[in-house]
Amino acid sequence: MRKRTISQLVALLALNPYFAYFSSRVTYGGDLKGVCIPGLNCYACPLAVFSCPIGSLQHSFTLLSPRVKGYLAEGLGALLYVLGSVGLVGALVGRMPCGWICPFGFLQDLLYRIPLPKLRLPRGVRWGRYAALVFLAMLVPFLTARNWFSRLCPVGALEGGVLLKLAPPQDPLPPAAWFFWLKMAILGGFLIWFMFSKRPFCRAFCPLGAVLGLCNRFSLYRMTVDGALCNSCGRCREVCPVDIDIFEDPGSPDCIRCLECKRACPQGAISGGFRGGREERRVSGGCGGSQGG
Amino acid sequence: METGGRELPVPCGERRGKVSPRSGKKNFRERACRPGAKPPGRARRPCEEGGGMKERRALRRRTRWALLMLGIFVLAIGLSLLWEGPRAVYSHAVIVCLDCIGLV
Repeated sequence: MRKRTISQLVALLALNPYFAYFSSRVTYGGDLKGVCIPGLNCYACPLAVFSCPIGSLQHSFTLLSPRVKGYLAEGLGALLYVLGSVGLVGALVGRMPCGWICPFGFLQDLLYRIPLPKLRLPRGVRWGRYAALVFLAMLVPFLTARNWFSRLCPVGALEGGVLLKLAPPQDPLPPAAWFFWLKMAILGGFLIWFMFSKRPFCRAFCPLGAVLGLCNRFSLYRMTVDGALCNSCGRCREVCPVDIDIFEDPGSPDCIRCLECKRACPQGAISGGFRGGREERRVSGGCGGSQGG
Repeated sequence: METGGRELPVPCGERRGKVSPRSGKKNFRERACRPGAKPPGRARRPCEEGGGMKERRALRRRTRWALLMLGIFVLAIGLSLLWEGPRAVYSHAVIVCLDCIGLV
């Protein structure tokens, strides 16, 4: 089994280890729930022990909302805490958690392996995740004091909705509203899409990917492509889970630092690491090829 | 020399010794050169030879940015403790939002 698959499996279990729920039917309420993890893992999941950074981000904006009075300090504190913890990870390793930790990314990787005709997404879909971040995760919660991204999020539908329905908590759940079935339909649509396209949710909708992706430009962990060795064979794009040409832009905000390209490159031209000593060259080369901070 | 449609009064790199019209200081130099113009000083080497140095400089700049951003994010976490940020996140996270899941 590949290292990345093992890491994704371990992360899935590490983020959702509360199997005691099945006997107690009470969700985890320990201190770890105050820790934001750099992955999209719904904290409504009965097995989850950490908090979702995007859910917490929305919560901080609802506290700051003019519709909610008296929670300004808490809202500001939560906002700084969430941005600080996500940004810290981003400044260190960029979008690497998307490739190695995120359980929803893992699900997308698995479903794409089903042998079916594949659809390529246009590059412009990346703007969707910035729109989701700014509008659904920040602006709309601020204006309406409701977590609208969470209300549509397929991760919540899968980890929270499905699991809570299958294993209901001690306190009886009310009957499912129409909204529950809408969420299920969104989840179903995504699950089908995952079989045909490479990580469509990560590329077009994930607000966490948008934040971490922005950090790719300056993170301490960086990808490099040796222009002297690269012959633009395109093998890296074939294996890339987000369908990018790494040699065009090693610091691309789409890159999830999964290092599949590094493994697959027949020339050994691609590398990634924290070191800065080895000379970096881009395939575009020359003076214009350097990438600013 | 290609001037990009605009005529330069003095070729770039030959402005040393001139006096700035604004500040009156000596050794005034233009801050940016037009594409194609010879830059003064150490960067006079042709583009291809200076590529590695430019890359290293970009790398250093990027590392400085990363460290600066790391500092800012650590500061943000530190400041959030003043307003009980982790407590606010915790108190929200322990409640399963049935409304968000559509079970209300």
